[in-house]
Amino acid sequence: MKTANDMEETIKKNLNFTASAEMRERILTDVLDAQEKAKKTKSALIRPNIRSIIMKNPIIKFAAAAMIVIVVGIGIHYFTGDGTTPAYGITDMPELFRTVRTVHLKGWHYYPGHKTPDGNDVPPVNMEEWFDLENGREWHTTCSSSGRSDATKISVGELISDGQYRLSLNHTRKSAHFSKRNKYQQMLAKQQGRDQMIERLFGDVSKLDDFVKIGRERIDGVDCDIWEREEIFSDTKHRNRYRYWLSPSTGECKRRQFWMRFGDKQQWELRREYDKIERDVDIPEGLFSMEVPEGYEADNTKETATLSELGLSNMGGYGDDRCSLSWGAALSFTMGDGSVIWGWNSIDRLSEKQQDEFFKGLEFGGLLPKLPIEFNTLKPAGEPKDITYTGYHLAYTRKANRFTEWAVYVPDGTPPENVKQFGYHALYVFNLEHEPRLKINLSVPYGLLIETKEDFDKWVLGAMAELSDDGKAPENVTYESFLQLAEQNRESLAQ
Amino acid sequence: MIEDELLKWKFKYGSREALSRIYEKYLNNLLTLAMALLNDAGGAEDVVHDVFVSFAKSAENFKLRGSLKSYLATCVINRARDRIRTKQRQPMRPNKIDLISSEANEPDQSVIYSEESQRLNYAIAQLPGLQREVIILRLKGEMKFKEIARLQGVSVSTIQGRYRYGLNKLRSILDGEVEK
Repeated sequence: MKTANDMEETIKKNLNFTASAEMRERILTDVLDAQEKAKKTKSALIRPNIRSIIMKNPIIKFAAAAMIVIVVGIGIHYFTGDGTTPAYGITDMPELFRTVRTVHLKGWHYYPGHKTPDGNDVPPVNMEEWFDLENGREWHTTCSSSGRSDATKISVGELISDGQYRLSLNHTRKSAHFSKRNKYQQMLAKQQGRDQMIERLFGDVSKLDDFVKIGRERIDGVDCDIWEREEIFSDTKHRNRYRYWLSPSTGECKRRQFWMRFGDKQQWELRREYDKIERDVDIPEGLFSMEVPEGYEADNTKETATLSELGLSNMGGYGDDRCSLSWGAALSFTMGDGSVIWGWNSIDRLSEKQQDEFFKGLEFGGLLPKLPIEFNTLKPAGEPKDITYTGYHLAYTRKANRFTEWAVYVPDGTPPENVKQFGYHALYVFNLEHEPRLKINLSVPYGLLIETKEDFDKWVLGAMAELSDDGKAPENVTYESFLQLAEQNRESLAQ
Repeated sequence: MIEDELLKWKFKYGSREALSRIYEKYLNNLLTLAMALLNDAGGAEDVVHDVFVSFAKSAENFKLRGSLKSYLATCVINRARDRIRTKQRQPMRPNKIDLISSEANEPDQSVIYSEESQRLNYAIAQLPGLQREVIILRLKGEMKFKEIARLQGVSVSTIQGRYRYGLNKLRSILDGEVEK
């Protein structure tokens, strides 16, 4: 019989699990990607705001205005030839795509300078996407790379979503996985599908104004303007370039390219290209078939598909020797009167206080719960930021051990128009014995616009019900009670 | 420890190499923790993946005075607990012990382990959750009883008790003395 000491030694020495090379690579690729994305987000945030520099100085402001007039004049004369304004420009694209039934994109991923493990150049990889916007269905090829640039492995796959179910196929590993959405998530995905498609194709639409026309080219017999935007990340000197070929007469988008330039390198590298962008074309028959191809191993079936959880995105965490914090945001909604309803949570896992204790004695329209991180205020994410949205408790919901605070944030003035583009920025206080040296940069999306009782019941109460164990929204929250509360709070803020 | 301090500093300032090194250094250790807690290769991979991805994203706000290993181990525990809770809410799940044997038979195995590891994990899976956490964090996470006590929200003596009971029970299971 082993002694306690023997037992300890046995576990220390002999209990070992090792990641396979494939798993090691798989996770590492995602980890390094996540770091890269986090860096880019940070760099983008700290870029100097040229507009604000110009607007602060009257002389520069005057010079800039004069320059714009001259450049616009030259631009109109040069690019249109006949002196008339083009019918369609890059800023018209979101509206043109917002009204379509279907979208089909086809193109290539490029890996310039990358070699396969056997020393050959990595060939371009085909990419294709279909959006059936009326029915909330999507079909995409997927492509990811792993390993160093001198031994790059490419993994390709497919994502098929019929609205309710989603089948992920990995063609490289010949594996398949099913997941599913419940009814609320399906409705939400369908509602937000157009915005997501537009974002996929045109990126951040608030930056469309930054594009400039750099030339013209004829593609498939159609004259196109070439529009370009570059972004520079000041800390790494990394540059991205986006180019679009648009027909000013028909509004067709004939090509899109994404280029990158790393650090001090002089060479631009073409990374992604759509050379076919079609609107309102018929979907090929059988595209959304959920059949697992022969020879593929599925780790589950449609019947055992994993259910996606609402509100698990936009999460963060922090730990030191006195706290272990995590926070997350569920959905946000902007109401017709400008106020915002937002669901969020925060937990300190080292706290002895149970989560339910924070929610005792709260009043509808009263103070927010004193959670470890209390998101008590919103500000517009864009300029100007002089409006403050004060948070009041509306309700809370509980699903398993996750408590979500649903707060209403009432503005103390008229919100700027651009909140629809930029959304909001959350301010917070720590309700902890010590203040962690932590800065949280949390964006709150504009979300769905709620203007009627029907919308309120469907989306706001629907979201609360989603995050409740009993599948019901709190009874005291109604559209009428919300309107009354918002009005009272506005009056008290005005006083 | 000095290497870890340097890695933490470099990671905070965006070093890709530092993150890769931290990953290589702790991947298998964290995977072992996750496997011991979940007894499910797929779940363990997800937990380790999510811990490292969150860690990678946290560089800007990263501030850690304590041990990097303990910090990552705590993250694994928290994620594993969430996963166990989620699983408990799902009916008709296969038995935990079935999971590991079926994983072991898969040709495309993403987690590699010896028969001895499998035997030990089988035994550890039979311990109550809190005892299992204490033993794993102490012996594989190299955490102090004080740190584990803070994590579980109880006193150090309770943790020491859980550790002692857990080891005794484990010994009994492995020696085949447990009552059927």
